[in-house]
Amino acid sequence: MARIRIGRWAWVLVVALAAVLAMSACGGDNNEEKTPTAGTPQATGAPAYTPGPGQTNGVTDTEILLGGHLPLSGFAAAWGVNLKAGMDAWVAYVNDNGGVNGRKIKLIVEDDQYTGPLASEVVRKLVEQDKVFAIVGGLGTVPDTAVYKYLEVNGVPDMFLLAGLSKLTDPVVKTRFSYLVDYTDEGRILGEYIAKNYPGKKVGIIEQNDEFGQEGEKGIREGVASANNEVVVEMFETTESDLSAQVQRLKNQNVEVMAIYGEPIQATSAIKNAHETLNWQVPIVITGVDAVEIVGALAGYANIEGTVSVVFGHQAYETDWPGIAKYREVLAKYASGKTPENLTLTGASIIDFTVKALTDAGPDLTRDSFLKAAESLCGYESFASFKGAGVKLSPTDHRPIEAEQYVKATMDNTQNPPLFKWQAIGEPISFESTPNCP
Amino acid sequence: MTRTLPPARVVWLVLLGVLLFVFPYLHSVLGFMSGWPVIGWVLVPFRVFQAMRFGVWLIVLMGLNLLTGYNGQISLGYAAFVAVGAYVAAVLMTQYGVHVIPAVLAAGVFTGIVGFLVGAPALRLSGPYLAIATLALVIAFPQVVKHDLVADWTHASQGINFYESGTPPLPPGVLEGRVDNNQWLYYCAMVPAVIMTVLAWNLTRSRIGRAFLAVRDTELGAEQMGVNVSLYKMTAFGVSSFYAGIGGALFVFTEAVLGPSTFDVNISITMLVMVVLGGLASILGSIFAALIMALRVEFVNAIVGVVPRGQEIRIDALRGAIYGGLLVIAVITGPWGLAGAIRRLPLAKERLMAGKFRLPVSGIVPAKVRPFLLRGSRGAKPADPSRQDGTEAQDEPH
Repeated sequence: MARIRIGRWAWVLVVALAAVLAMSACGGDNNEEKTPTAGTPQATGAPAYTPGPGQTNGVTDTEILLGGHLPLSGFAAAWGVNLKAGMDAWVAYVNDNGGVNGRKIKLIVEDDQYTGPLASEVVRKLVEQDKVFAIVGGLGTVPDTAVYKYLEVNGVPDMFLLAGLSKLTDPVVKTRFSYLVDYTDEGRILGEYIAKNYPGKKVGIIEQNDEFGQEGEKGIREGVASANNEVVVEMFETTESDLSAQVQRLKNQNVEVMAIYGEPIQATSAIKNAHETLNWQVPIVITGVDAVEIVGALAGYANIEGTVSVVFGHQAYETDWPGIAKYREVLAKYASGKTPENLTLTGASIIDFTVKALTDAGPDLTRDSFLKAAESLCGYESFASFKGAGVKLSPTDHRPIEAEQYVKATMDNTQNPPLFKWQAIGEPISFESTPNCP
Repeated sequence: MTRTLPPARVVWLVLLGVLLFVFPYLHSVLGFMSGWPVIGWVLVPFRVFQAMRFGVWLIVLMGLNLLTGYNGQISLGYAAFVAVGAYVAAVLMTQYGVHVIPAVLAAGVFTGIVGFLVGAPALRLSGPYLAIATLALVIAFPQVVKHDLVADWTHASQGINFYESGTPPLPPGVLEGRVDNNQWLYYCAMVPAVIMTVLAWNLTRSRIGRAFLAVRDTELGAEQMGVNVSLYKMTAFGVSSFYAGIGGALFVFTEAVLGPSTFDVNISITMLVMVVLGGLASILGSIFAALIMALRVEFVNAIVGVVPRGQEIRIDALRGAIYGGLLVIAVITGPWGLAGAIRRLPLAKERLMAGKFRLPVSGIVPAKVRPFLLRGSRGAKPADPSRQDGTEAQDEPH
């Protein structure tokens, strides 16, 4: 085929036209957002908030449409698939029991493969094409940081994010709530455990080279500050899956306690490498993000035995806790084929919090009424909440969980077949950021 | 070969141009058609956003096609160049208040120069070795971004966020209310996409384009014919990186968020796979590649969506396997991609008429097995003796 013969003047015309079109435009003159925004944080003072458009998106007389973005394929798929299973099961349970103020919930979860660009695409699809009422349970530092501003600017409730970055709730944004405890707080709790049980010993932290790892490290340093522990750090990128080099370097530095701030794939690599490959039986402490049963299976039950972490509520194995027994019932009925474990529990728990806020918002459901109801949720004890440590939310505190408990990876041989669990040790520790319920 | 286009072609091109121009408004103007089967799918406002994404991907994948398809240099690390362009543009726009057009152009030129320079050591490598070296580039990139030297600009792992820096990509005051965000961004992406496509079209049919192809097909032969192989290989890297820079800059402008992991090794490999699927050494192939890339969520959902109720859990777990399996099948059965298959349709029709049926067998099938699959030729040699894989020589660009 021939070349497209474009005369000189035609080019000039085209370029000039394009330039004129765009010069008056594309870059914007640094306008602030034209659409009314929800909760744009100001530089000083309390965040200003005006209810945005789309107040009743996704709400009909019979249905409430919720959206979610999880990794359903890719390396984080086990995480996302299980979370979705838990969410779907609890949604089915709620719908079977009358729904929310007469409306059934419909949940659409899209696959973001734990990447920013895909998360951004699917969230846009959910918000602009499906017109969901709210996004729930977005998982992961990387996908969440790609979409949180878009959701904020468009006034879409971003509920119960599964990411503990402090910048997500500090400063508080009206439409955004986190589910996880702040990574710095969590790190401090882990650090306190190290200070109490391994005072004066050298601590080696393996952390993800981003805010997740950095905040965890900061927390751990705060936690061990009182006990004279020396801290050294090794980092890895999110795309690395083999941490043998980092572990070896820590061993060479004669580290006596290892702390890991990474996601399951990397955490299991480090644990396996240290305990099995190098036969280096160093005590390991890991972030609560990894306190799930899958990590035990991946790392090898023998390798992970004795590793310490934290959890935010009762766990799937606690059959004697009434709330957990109910959760197991729901899972058996609506997600048969799924063994009860902590990821499905987290998914179900997120939906439970959301449904409570939706119910409290009443039959006249708008995003504004829903957010107000969520902010007033105080003292609600969900099926997995510790006794006396219910959900605590307020206009200045958008993190619902106020208590954690140390757990230790254990193989329970009294069960048949032997059951791997993160065995709770000690009592739940409360760190109240919301003083008391009004 | 600068014949003028036949009038029929010109009419089609003009119609296409008009369609592209009015696309963002179709869904409101043709609202009554939104219930119709095929058209209805297109007339959804969200398609405007997807079309905008398509435009950006078109530029990016065209660049990769120029390098790998036309010039035969396999690059698994192309995403690193896209990221360079994105970061340069993002820093210029958010921290130095540069207007988008000069920022995008600057990003393109800067990345092009970087690519040209990278092309120099790449001269020593070919085939799988070059692929590995470029893979190393993209794997190392996040660390480079987080390095202290540039962390002031790149904000290391926090990334760059246009909303936070007060420069969100919005239409200018003069058009406020008349055009919504997505429509405006659509033009911001489509206009450069069309311009870059025309440029690529002309480039591939010029002396430079023919030199690229010659170098790809036979370096020694090209050298014999007086083609400066080193120069053209480096130029190919440079030109493709220019496209990567422009594409990356537009991506970050329309996306408004950028981090070190936005363009990672996974998307880099996906890009190459898409280009192969769409069609190497083909403008139409790049268009297909960009289409599939922009709509990949829909594709996978559609395939996975054909699932009986209650089986979702199992299918979700298999999503990755289905996706990967399809890619493998597609690459094996269609080495020249979708565009190649379309180009060979007349040929296939001819063969069918003549009673011969030949499987498109790729070079990976061992020689002993091939004759059994190449029925119709009585198990004899493939059409072109110099080609291992039984396809015809791809002389003409298309």
